[in-house]
Amino acid sequence: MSGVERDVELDALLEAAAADLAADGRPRAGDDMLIARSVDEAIARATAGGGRGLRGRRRWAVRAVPLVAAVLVATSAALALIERARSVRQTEVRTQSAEPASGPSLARPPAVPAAVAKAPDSAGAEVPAEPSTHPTPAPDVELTAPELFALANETRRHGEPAAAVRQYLALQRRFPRSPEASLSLVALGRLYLDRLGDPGRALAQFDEYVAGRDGELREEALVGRALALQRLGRVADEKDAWRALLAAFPNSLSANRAAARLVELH
Amino acid sequence: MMQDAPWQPRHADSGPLLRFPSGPMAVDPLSEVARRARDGDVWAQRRLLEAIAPSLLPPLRMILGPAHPDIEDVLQEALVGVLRGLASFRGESTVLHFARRVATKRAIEACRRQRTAARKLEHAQQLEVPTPPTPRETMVANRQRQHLRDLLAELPGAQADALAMRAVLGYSLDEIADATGVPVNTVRSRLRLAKEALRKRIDTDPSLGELLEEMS
Repeated sequence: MSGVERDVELDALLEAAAADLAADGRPRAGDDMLIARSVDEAIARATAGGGRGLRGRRRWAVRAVPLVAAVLVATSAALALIERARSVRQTEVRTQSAEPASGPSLARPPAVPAAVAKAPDSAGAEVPAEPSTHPTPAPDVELTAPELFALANETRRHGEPAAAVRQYLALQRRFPRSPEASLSLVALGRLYLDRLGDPGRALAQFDEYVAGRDGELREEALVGRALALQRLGRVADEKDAWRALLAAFPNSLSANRAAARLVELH
Repeated sequence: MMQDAPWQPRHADSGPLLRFPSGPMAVDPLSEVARRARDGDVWAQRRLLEAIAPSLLPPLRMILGPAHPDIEDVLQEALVGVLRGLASFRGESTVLHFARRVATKRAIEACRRQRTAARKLEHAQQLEVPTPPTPRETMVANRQRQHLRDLLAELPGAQADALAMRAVLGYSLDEIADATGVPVNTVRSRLRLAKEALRKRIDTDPSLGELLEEMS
């Protein structure tokens, strides 16, 4: 066999094997969720600059979350004790003297009453209630809106979707007018959609965001709406949603997907 | 505490531009979002990864196998690799091309890591006894692609890289030469060695020979 013939034969061999491989590259059910998880994790790893793998991070998260919670609870308890002691001392001072206390205040923002903390959330999600006999305020009670939002995102990235849902909903309930609460509508919508398989609740979140002011995540919210409607099987509404996306964001990264879906639904 | 995309400020025009080539490449739809991602805009990073990830799964599955248990981990490694690699990306190709190359490399690395003696043995045992009765064509195809995967894990790095670009990504010789920064003849030589190795594996696989004979 000549060199050229040998080359031709080898090329044919490689092409045959490559064609076989190509069949393995086909998309599979569940790819959307796999991709969503991978993107979340990759962003977290790149942002943190860490080199831990997925499983390492999950192990770390499992160990770290209780520790962080314990520290927060202990801190809250300590602050409550300090506050109580200070209050008693001020009462004693007032009793002894008509002069008002004038030192620097140690007071923290008042804790959310347990009744408020347990109130049903606006989206109607089934969120496990806080333990009724909680001796101290819940760990996230005194967090600011940005801190609570960051905590919820961190929890979500660490693979605790149920806990993240509670935190997002707590944010929306406690700081309903904050920019973070508005942004959380999209984050929570994606969480319901991609991780929890609940397109109904996802749609409620996206709808609320879209109904609000023109936010910076409007494009993402419109995409989320369309995907949620797709999973709900509401074909007419889904078409409208994709059209709304294309009208508002013709250069969207999801434009091709929207167009393809519209053709498919036609 | 790490921050997430939604409240991250958008860095509109910070830092020098990536050098994307003129001509068709200038319309790379991902160039702008890649530039922002490179500059640390987490919102852009997320959008970039969401845009490229669906295109990275096929080469990963082709190299690792469609049901490989570590597909998700390797995809994450590839996505992190893309973000970190943006700093040195000079626009010699589209962003998607670049990302697919990163993914291919990560998949080959993963293959190499996991080719322990135990796995090889297990795989050999699986090859000896194909459980469900399958058509001969399917069996031949399965064995050929497994040989190709094994080769990707066993060949020297440069040969494996060239073979993956050719067989998995469908690159031409010129494209492989551009991507790897070596002359075309070097690429040709690497591919020839890789193909010879594939031929040798197939020739020395007795049961595959039998199957091919039965089909002829």
